[in-house]
Amino acid sequence: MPSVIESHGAQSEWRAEPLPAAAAAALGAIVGPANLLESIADRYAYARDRLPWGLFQLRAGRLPATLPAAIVSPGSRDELVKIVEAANRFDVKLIPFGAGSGVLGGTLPLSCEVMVDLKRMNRILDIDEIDRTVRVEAGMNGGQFEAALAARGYTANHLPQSIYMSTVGGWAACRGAGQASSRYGKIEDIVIGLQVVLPNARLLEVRPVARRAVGPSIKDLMIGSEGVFGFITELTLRIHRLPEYEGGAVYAFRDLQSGLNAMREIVQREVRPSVMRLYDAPESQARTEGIEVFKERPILGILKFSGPRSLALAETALAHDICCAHDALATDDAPYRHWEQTRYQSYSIKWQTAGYCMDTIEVTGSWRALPQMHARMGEAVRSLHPDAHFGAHWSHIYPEGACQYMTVRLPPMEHAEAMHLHGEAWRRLESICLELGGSIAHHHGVGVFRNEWLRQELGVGLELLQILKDGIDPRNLLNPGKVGLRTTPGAVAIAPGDVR
Amino acid sequence: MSAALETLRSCAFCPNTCRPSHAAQAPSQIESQTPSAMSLLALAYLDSRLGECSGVIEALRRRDAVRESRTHCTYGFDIDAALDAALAAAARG
Repeated sequence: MPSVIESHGAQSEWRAEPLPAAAAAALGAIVGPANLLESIADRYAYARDRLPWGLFQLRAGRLPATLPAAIVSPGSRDELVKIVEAANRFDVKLIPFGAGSGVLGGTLPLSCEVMVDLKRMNRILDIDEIDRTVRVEAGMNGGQFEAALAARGYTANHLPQSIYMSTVGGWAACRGAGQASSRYGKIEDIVIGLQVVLPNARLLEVRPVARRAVGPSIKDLMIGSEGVFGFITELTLRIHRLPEYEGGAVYAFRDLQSGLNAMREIVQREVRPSVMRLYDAPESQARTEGIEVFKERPILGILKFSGPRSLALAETALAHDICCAHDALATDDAPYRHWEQTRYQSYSIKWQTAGYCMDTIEVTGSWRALPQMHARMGEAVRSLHPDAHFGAHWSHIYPEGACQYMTVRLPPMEHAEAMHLHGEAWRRLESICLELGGSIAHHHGVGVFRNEWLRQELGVGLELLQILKDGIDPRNLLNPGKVGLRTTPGAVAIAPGDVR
Repeated sequence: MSAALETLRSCAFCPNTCRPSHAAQAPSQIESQTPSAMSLLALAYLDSRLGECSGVIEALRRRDAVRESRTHCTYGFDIDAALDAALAAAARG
């Protein structure tokens, strides 16, 4: 029988199996007693990540899944290897944990796994100024990483909104994207090499080289693996000199299609702003209040240009001509300045404390599909409830298409009804995305919350991933049940719409 | 709801934008000492979802990261003070 926390009513009956004593002794001997946490309180703190559905459960006094059995914090790769060896000996399941900022439940314990908190592995190991690369341990905080690079005059140009609340390893684990992706790419374009501790405790190294032709990309099996194939312990990233010049531009478009056309033309004509952001009408309105020109042209576009001054100014001029050709007006830069000031804030206290259910869903669509995707998805959400909010923006822009980043917000209501509508919103948006040929996830990853749509997107590809998982992790010790892969007997199931 | 509880409720679900205020060299880098986790633990304790034998009292005494975050909170919260105020109010009944 699962043990329960001391009873304070039905809500306290959480699954909370502790770590067996022999396994605890083994892990404690590896990391020292201070780095093995077993109290219920510590385990409760690790029983969540930033999956909004999990937040809604906690807010209602419920646990998203189970408590982890314990938390272990290695200080080095050698300690981590010993932890994985011990896990194999004692048949203990492990979940890699960085800063817990994932929003798809990728680190939620589904069957009282042990969390392996990697934040003690947080050093920059080397900056190579000839090759322009940095070697860094996976647990380093993103904000501290960029600050350390900046002190030497560099940047990795991976600048996600979550930079202060995430780790470098976490960026790779979920295949993330930063706000400068339109120029510098996603994390898979920035990481050139990595080291991994596999589920059998063997070390895997992908050498940091510019390009290779040695069979399929092992690096790309690990980037986005969310801890199911191993622990990413060290990464080598491309770095650049801090930009000589940075400047922003704000445009008002007559309608969404004009804005999308302009963004498409900018990248297809090989102009590369470091930041490109286009907002639909509801999101534009929230950012342009009081600016006259947006009454006639209600769609907001923000561009930022970075790099060598002459190149950035040339790109600024080219992009300006393209926007003007699509009947946009350059205007007050207040929305750009506001975006710069708040670009690393992602938490909406206003809606959270008022009991709203707010979530974000990001998908990738082709230019051909995006207008229909936006129209159909907006209607799908608004028809859920008279006060449902839907807003979208496009801020990762490529020659072939873009990420459509959507905010869905439901007003306060009874918990079960809210969870039903929230689940229905996810189902409708992901289904429309698949129908229109898109990808169900651009940069947040799969975690556990997107499992049901992953098979539809990957098809037989998911079977290949399962074969690989079974080969390197036959006992399913690492992060079971995530990224659409097989779960373990007795594990808690999580799907959109579930009510705890 | 008291101001302290309201602050804890705001912080408990924040992803810790203040994280870099906790030095990378600090020996302890655990999640449960972050301001957001401490707020979550305090609320669970005050709601009687975590009892004293859960180790919550000891956990709520680990304030280093919370104190370092004081001037780094995006939203201007002083979680150290909010924890003290909320726990003191609960103790007074």
